[in-house]
Amino acid sequence: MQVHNFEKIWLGAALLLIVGFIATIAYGTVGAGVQMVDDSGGEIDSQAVQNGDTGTTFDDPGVVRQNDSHYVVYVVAQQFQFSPGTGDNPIRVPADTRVTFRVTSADVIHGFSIVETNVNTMVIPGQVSEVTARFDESGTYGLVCHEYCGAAHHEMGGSIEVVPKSEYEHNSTEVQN
Amino acid sequence: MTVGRRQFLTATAGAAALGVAGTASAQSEPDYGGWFDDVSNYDGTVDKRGQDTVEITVGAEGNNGAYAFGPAAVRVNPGTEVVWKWTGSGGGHNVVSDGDGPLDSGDTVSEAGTTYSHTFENTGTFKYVCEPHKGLGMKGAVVVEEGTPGPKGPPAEPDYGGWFSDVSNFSGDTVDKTGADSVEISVGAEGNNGAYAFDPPAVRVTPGTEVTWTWTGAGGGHNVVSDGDGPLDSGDPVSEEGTTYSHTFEEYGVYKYVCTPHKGLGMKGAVVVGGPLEGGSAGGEAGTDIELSGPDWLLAGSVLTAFFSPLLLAAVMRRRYREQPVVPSDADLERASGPTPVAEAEEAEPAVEVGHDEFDPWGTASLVAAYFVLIALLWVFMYFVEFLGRVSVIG
Repeated sequence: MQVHNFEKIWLGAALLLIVGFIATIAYGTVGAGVQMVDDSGGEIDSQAVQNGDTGTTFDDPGVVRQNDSHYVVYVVAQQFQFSPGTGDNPIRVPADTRVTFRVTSADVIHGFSIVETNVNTMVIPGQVSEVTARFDESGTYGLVCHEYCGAAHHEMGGSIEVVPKSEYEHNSTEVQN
Repeated sequence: MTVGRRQFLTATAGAAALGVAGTASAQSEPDYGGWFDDVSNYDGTVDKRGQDTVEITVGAEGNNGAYAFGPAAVRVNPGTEVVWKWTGSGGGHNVVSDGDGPLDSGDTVSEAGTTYSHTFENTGTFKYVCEPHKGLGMKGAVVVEEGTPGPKGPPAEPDYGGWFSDVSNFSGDTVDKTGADSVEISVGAEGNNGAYAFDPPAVRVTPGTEVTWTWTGAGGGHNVVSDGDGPLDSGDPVSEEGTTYSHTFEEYGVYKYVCTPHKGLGMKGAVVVGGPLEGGSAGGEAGTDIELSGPDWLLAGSVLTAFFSPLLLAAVMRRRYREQPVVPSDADLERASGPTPVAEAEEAEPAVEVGHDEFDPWGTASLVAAYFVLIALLWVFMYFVEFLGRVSVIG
């Protein structure tokens, strides 16, 4: 069988592209440190989340300071709001700091997507979705539910206010652990 | 026998209602001639008659910033001193009469706590502006008028302003609970395609009545929060059956409230305190009437026209067909006797035969190369710029 030289070249180039794509993903994981959302958040009783008697910070969700360079944000998603997050109760976190979002649902499957970032996870009842990110720039980010969760799904959203680290004052009344 | 506070208030309201006929005309809203059309915080004229001094905020929230007078319109008695007080927000403001008038606070000031006052001796309507922010809608008016404030209370048929348009269990009636000691509203009642309703959605109560919201436990977490500024706030949504939240309404008015998470589904309610001003029985709101404004009519008409356009077209076609003289054409004959046989086309010989060795694929090669470049560019931008360039999940 005779294969034209040009055909050989572009077959080779196509294979090279595939290798390149796979290498990119490998670089993203190993080099750039991009992580997948896994089951590290653990399990939780969604009924207890609904009733507020889980015995965890989800009973009074909010920002919890671990140390100066690490904050954990507990968020409960429910039809049709994030608490905190929705309305005049935005999530406030410092810039240039590790921020771990621990999100769970009190009822049905929701989504937790921070607009213009790669923070994007499903929120499954019974499961805690855990994602960690670092916001380099301060500003207000949109927060949307991007998993259809019911009739007012389109209304479910919120915001995240990233403030400069020096201006961030953690509300000391919140639980610290 | 002691007279309870609620009974006393009922009696007062009743006595006040008797006086309505005399003061009803004074209660009507003055005609400002479109003065407040572009003023976002204008919400009726606030009746401050009977007070010696009346304060108006300069630089109140409104008109997309701190560009408002609060309240925008007040009604005062002659001889009342009106004091304008600066909040310090929204930059430099002043208070100057529109056209000829008595008000002129001079140059603009931004300092918080600045005051300017004027005592109105003559009756009339005095319009004024903040000169730099007039274009934004920073306008106000003082109506100087004799008399005392009329009885306050919502009318027999409160205008909810479309509040209940998406509430499925609102029948158009405001449930009359005036005179009841306590009124109970269930939270999470059937409605709005699930347990997303307040039942009853609209109630009328007497001032001083305690209204208790009781959770049914259905429909997930609910709360009771006033729409905008208001006294109701049961806190975070809870779902537990039997949870209660109560509030005692003292002031006349229409109190709208929602369940924050289910507002979008129509989980809304209202408590009407006091009244009704006219008529002995509590009337219902004409909530079921469909009121269409100009653009609504246009839209509805267009949709209907679009819906029936095929029928219209069919009618026109039929008419035109009928108007044509019935002469059998070739096509009609063909239809009657079947198609005439078509001669088979002769197979054309290829003009030039291209052999494998003579095939010159430069054009194809360059096209493929261009595709490769495009894919590579998309790849770089998508992964390295769009994906890695953003805030990423790092753990």
